[in-house]
Amino acid sequence: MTAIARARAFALSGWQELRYRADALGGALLWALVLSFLVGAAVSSPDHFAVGLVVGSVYALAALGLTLVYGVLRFANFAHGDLMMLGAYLAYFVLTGAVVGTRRDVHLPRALDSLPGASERLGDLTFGYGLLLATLLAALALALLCIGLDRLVYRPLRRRRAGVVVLAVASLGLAIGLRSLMLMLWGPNPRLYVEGVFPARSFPFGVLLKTDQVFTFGLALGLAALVYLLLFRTRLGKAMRAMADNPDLARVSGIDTDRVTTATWALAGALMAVAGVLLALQAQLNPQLGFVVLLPVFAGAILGGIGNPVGALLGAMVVAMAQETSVGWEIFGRQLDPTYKPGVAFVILIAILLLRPRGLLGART
Amino acid sequence: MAGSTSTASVLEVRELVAGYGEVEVLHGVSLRVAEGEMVAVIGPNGAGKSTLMKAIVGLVPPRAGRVLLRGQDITGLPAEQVVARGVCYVPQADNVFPSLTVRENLEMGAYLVPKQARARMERAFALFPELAHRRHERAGRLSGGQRQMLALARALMLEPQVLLLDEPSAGLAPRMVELVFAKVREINATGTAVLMVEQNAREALKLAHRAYVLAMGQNRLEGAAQELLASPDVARVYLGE
Repeated sequence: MTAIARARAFALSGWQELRYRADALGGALLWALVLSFLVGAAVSSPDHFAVGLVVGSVYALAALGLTLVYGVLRFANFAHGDLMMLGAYLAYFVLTGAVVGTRRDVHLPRALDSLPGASERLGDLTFGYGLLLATLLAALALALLCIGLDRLVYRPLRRRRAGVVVLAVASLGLAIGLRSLMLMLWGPNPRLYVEGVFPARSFPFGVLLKTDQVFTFGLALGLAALVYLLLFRTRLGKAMRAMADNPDLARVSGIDTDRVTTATWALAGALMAVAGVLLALQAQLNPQLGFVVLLPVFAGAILGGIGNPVGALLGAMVVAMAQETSVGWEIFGRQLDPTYKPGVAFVILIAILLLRPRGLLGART
Repeated sequence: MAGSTSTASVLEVRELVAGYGEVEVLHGVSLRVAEGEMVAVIGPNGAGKSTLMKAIVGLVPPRAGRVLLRGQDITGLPAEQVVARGVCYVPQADNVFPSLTVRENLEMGAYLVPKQARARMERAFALFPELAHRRHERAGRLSGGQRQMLALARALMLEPQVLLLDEPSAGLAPRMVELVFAKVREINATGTAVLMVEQNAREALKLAHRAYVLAMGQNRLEGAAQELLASPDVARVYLGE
């Protein structure tokens, strides 16, 4: 080895070492920031913290689906938010049978609403078993729809070895198409699963939550736990993770990657529908809502380390918490307006991308 | 191995043509691997050695020629079906699932035979004891040598008829190369036919029964490994003497 080559190798290893240190430092900094923020939020405004947990659990469910599709199929699905909303509207449709008409809504002669007792409130919840059934049907429908869209749009592109940008732009087009479809079918005005005003319940530390919100938190976390079990305990789930790691190696291990792809879309579709219904349950059904949540959901998935299911959960929680507690922040002596919530997610996104693009739990590349 | 030409071929490749997009890399490569044989393919960088492996296993679709497994045509089958028929393959790089544990990597190796997974895993751990201690660790945390061991173990889970190895010594320390080659010899000694592509020509020729010299996507030479090792032509061009 000549002296120059040796010097060069030394400089290169020094650079590697420096990059490694910077990455480790970025990680430590990010973890410290996230943890101190969570503790601070919980102590200073438990009310916003609680709402953050609820919203975060919905984002987490959405981010889980997003990160699964990203991991297994390797592209950023910009249609995720609009597919979620479509799921919410499908549940609305099978529940009420309503679509927008020329003057007034047109109703199907029969819908789940007309089943005996379907609208009777379950305990303290605002809805009856009709909505639960509708959610289940919407989850099934969206799973099938996602498989269909993959066959129609994404698979032909993959076969042509289209790059990530082509796939992402195709998904963006799909998102706009789906949003227009929802506008056509259900109009621009917000809709509700159940009409009426419902009081919130008091919890310790001055936390006010509706029973629906407690239900949302429980269902979302329960489903996330099931997905975790699927991914880490079943043969199919392990095959999904294997394919996310290395699709070619998965194929030469005998894994039928077409079938794993189908299963991934089915799972992601079902998760999207449930996340969409839970999201709409927090506020209203609105064709624009899917696009609004896309950003915080992406921010959450990237904060956790895109492709990592546990990271998606954690990241989504943190982003939701930041958005909710931002309502109480004072900047230049004025309270931050709630309309800045998406901006908070955007700031977080930029900060992670600068500080540590692989996020909290993402693999080193 | 004396008389190897008279035994039946496990794997036979005839005039295989393959490439990527506009570029044709293999212009008609032929070779055969007999029962229990270890065959090496050596040649300079860019000779098409890795493409040959990928074309056999179905990751790169062949454009012409045939691949026969015990006389059965498997040309152009999707990779997962080629593997199911008993052609297992260890890629040169990225040959383990880094985010899966050692155990899960082996489970994926036995994906097609989930019922036998447990028994075969125990056998793999017996063959590679250092993996047994780290079975719950993520493969991404293993050293280069251990990773290569895991890659071998994963490919053996299906009890292949023929094992394809793409540069098993690449990027390993000399001591690890020795260890990996010893394991390959051990695997071959149990009767598994091996087709190995190697940059490290001298070591590969010492290990193999027969060898092919590949250059510019075509066969150049073929013969018993000992003869090629002794041949002045091979020595000058490929062994760097």
